[in-house]
Amino acid sequence: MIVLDNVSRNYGSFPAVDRVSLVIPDHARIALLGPSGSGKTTLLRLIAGLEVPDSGTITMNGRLVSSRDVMVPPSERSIGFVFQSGALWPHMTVEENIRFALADLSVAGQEQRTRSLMARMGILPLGKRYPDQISGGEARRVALARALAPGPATLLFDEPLTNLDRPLREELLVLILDAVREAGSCMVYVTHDEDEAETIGGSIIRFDRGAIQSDGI
Amino acid sequence: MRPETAILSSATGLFFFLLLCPVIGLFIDLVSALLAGSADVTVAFLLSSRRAWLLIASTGLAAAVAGSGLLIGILFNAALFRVQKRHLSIILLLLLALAGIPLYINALTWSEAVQAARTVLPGLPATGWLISFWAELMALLPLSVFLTWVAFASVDIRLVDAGRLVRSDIAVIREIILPLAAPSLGAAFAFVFLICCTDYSVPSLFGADVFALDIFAQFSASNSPAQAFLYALPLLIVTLAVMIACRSGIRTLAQTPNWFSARFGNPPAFPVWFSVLQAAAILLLTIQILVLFLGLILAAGSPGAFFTSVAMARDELAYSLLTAVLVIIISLPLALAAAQELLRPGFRGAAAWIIVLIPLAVPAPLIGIGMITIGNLPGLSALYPVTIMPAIVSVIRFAPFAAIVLFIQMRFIDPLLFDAAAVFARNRTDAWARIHLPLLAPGLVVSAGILAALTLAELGATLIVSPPGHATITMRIYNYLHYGSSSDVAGLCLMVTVLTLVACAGTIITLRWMTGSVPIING
Repeated sequence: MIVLDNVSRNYGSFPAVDRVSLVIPDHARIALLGPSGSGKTTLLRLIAGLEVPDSGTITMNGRLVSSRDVMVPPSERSIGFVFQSGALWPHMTVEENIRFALADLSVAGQEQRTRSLMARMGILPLGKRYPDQISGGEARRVALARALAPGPATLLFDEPLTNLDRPLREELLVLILDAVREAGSCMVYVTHDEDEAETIGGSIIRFDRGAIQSDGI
Repeated sequence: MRPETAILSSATGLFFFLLLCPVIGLFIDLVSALLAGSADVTVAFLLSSRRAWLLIASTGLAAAVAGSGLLIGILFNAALFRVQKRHLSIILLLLLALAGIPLYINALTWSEAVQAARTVLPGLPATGWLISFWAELMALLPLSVFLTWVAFASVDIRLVDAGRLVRSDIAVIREIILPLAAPSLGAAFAFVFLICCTDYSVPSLFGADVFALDIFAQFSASNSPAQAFLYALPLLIVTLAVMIACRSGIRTLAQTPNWFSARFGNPPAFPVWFSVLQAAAILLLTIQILVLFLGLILAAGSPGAFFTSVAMARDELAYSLLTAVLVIIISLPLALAAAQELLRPGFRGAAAWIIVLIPLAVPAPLIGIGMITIGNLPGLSALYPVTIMPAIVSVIRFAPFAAIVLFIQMRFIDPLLFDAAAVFARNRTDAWARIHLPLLAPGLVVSAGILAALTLAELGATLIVSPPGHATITMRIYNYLHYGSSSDVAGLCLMVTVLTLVACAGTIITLRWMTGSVPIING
């Protein structure tokens, strides 16, 4: 369970996230819905440990992971993150992108897990290609496989289907939901698309001007 | 052809011709010498054991300085991840200002520091390659650190964030930041390597004979540009090869989209051993700053002695300032035109980049010798502008930096703004005066600052082309270094340092006034 208690994050004098309190239960599916610039991405980054809160605390399963004074490194939070752009490392092949997240496994273990994830995402033939040699849809599949690779307890999605056409978005959303269900992870999905939020099928939190406007938890 | 296009094409052509002039002059002289049978081609290809040693030692020194500077820069910049944005801007501006201080001034202060240290450690070498390496490394450290920072800033921070979610920060540096920054780091290495390879002011002060100094000596002895050119060819091949190998990296470095924009929301945390190395890198830079300023202030003696040495050099100072102003006036319009050429895609753009980068690979004395040769061509001697030749060689050596800065500035400007100007302005002059120039002004100001600082420090080419009866302040210092008293040298060096810092501060203040905020972020 992730608990955000009165968390704020300012950029200069602009409050990107303003005293947000939120409880995310295990295995929850949450859609964070709000307009551009409302602070959704900053909230995800705070949970992931990529931002330090100016005030408030974040705990994960009772352990304090974020406050002004205490910051558990992002790599120790058991979090998978699918970025808006995919954020695939251009100097690594598809296989290497996924394997990078599996440093704790043996070489054979890494190989097996990578192949199984690539097969699950339908990208097995793309293993030796570089990110600039695959399509936008394929890149999102790779990003999803990479996020799932270490078996994280929480999966964060930051508008992962932006700039894709509608049929592909629908196809990938089904893939994401199936993959999250199979992984048994908790999911927070940021979007500004009402339909996408509905399709997630869990709770919808409406977010605007850095604060929760209404929530369905 | 539209008049505007014709002016731009002519200016670009003139600029590129000017940049190639020394090489053209040397080629013409070489061909004439070959036809006359007075050139010994074997000099270029059959290296005596002394020249082979000089070449290996000079390029080895440059590689060691560039490599060590890069390593320290990487450690220092990893520490900068923890610094807030506004403080970062100040540190970067300070680095830039320090990078503009002439190398020989840094060498002088290190020479003084070593002499002082020898009273405690008598075994410390005061001359030779080791101390030359140290002085050159420390003199170029601010530039190395700054260029490494630019290379780091070229990495998309989202890619770094993606790595931090699954691996430790030190693993992310090793496996994501360094590989992604590699082309830009290569370019940074090339810049420092080329500067070091083509400089002789530092090693000569410590008694280390380098290839660049030998070119100057060879020309002085033979008075034959062709022979000097042939003599310099092995070094020229090395520097041109490095420049061409890193050309795409230099272009990437200039095109990097993330400069100054992104910072870590949660700064990385590193293991203790890495933090210790970072502290050592910070300490080295601090020592460099302390040695420079304390060394100069202590050696300059009393304020009275300082003002006396400045007053004695007033003619040289006036000539230097006049030269710097001329360089700015000549360079800016030409560089502005050339920057448009650098923006072009395909072969034409690539060719423009090579031409612009060539002067950076040519040792300074060779540029001076090439220009002397042009002046000696039949029919040209009457047109040869003797009194402004120091300005011309500085244009050739440093205007490429202005072209690159303006290229960067143009890439930051939305082309639609120029289209809008064409639609709404009363005429072309109106569009240039009210839209183009204000948009390009930050780049022009930065270019002017860089040109002024580098021109004040130029020595290698000026020493050859300077007309009788005229000397720049740098030439006077160089002569004093060998024959004069140390308080006079230190006083003049302190003055040049202050002038360089004033040029940098003036640039920053002007930019702040123009942009209304920290210029480097908006620039």
